[in-house]
Amino acid sequence: MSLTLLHGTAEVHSEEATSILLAWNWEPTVVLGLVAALLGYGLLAWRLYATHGRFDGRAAIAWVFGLLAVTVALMSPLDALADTRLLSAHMVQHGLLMSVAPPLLLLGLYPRLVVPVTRPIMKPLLRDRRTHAVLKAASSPGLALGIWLVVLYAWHVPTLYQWALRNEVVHIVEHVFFIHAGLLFWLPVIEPVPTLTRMKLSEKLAYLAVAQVGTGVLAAIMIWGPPLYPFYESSQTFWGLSTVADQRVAGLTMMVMDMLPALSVAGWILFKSLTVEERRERSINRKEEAWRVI
Amino acid sequence: MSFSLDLRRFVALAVAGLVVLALAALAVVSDSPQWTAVFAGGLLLAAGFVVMAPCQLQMSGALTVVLRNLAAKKAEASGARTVRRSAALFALGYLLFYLPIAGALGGAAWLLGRYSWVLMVAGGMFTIVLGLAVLGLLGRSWLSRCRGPLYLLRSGRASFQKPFRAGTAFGQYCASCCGPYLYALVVLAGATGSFTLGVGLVMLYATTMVIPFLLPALLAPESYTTLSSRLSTVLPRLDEATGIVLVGMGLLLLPVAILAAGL
Repeated sequence: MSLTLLHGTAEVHSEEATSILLAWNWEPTVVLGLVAALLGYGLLAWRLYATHGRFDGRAAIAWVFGLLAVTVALMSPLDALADTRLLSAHMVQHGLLMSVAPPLLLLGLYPRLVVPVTRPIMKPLLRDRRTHAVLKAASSPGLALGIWLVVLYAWHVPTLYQWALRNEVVHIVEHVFFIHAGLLFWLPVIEPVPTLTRMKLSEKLAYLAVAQVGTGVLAAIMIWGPPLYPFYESSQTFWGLSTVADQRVAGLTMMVMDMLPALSVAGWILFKSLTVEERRERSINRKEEAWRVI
Repeated sequence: MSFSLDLRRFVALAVAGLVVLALAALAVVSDSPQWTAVFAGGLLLAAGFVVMAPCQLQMSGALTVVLRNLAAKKAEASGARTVRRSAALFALGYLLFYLPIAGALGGAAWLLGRYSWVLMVAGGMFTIVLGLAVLGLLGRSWLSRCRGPLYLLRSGRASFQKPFRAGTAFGQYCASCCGPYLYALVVLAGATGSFTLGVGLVMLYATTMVIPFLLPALLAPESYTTLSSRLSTVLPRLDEATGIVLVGMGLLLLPVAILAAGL
């Protein structure tokens, strides 16, 4: 049964709508990647449990939810909706890949889990002065922030964005860029392992604020600016949403999906820094007590 | 509370302000309502994190005070279950308080229509005054007692014994500071033509504040014990940050209101 015309554009037939909403994309490379990530983590956690008798359950849950966010972004019906019908759905997908999955995955990592694997690789590199300097430059928060903003803006330039919609290889490259830029961006904030460049609490908050300025400006262009992506004008709309309204919702979605992790992580880093401060104070007090006893 | 302003920071802020004003002038001169709206909206959204983060962190501080009071009443009250339950009630109180606020802001934008920018100017000036009061720069003014949730506690206007009432009290504090910012957002978003749009946007804002507040309480309730022991050092710094943000937000709202007047 077809729906009536709205805003001069044709609505998607309800049978087609149902088929899109049930379309799971079991892309073999994505499935293999996710399974490998899950098994790899499980192996590390099992090894840690075998040697130390425990592992961080909450971190494991964060890892699983991070992989779930990637699954929803790339394999659920959201992918079909984003690729063919709704810009706002595509923003949800991008938000999951850049702002939801990466911090969750990084929260799943911690030194005891990761260092046994990274130490054999990193130690010789860090011992060499030249590679140490390169690694230090590469791990600079300024560089990570710059890459994140460039990737965010570049892939939303209409020419590149629509090329990705029309070419599957370019689309995959786009998603790879988003995930990696996201991981690089959140790394100096969450610091799952000690990094070469450490930021103070105020610097981390300023880092998040600058990133949100970038998101805010892009979101404003999508909300108040002219229609950016003619691709969606040629496709049929969904749920009575015009292409102009869809773009506005997309801008709002981008803003909210970036703001929620930023605020959540801001609270988390505050709590974490207070815990570190308190532990440091307790350790100093214990040492002072020990000296007094002596 | 005394406030010292670093000269370099002042110069940096002044330069940033001049750049913003220059871009605003360009937007107006370009005579394009669309790009004027983009510019005005961009200013507001770009400031979103800076506006929301101090307030959202203060929410955690306010909940910590509630938990302390509950723990003082009942010896077993500092457990994870109490933290989660209190946080949920606090969030509910906050959201319910924001419902009439959403109606008021959306209604004001809808009723005032093309003159809604006037209220934006008034809101911007009020925010600057509020920020100066929080920073302790208004000596004997009736606003000088406004020190955020601590004021609500000391004045007895908030009950920090009951999480739900503390949530509504915090909503009152939050709305008085963020109200002008939210009003500017809903006006630019087109709430002058749609009451429900205005209401929806304000409630979306309130929900976006509540979710990051709830997450540590639900997932890591033990972190509130640490916050409680450090509250006396954290809250004054948050208060100072809030004061600076309020002054900055007020200064931002003035050019945004002028841009909105031209739309």
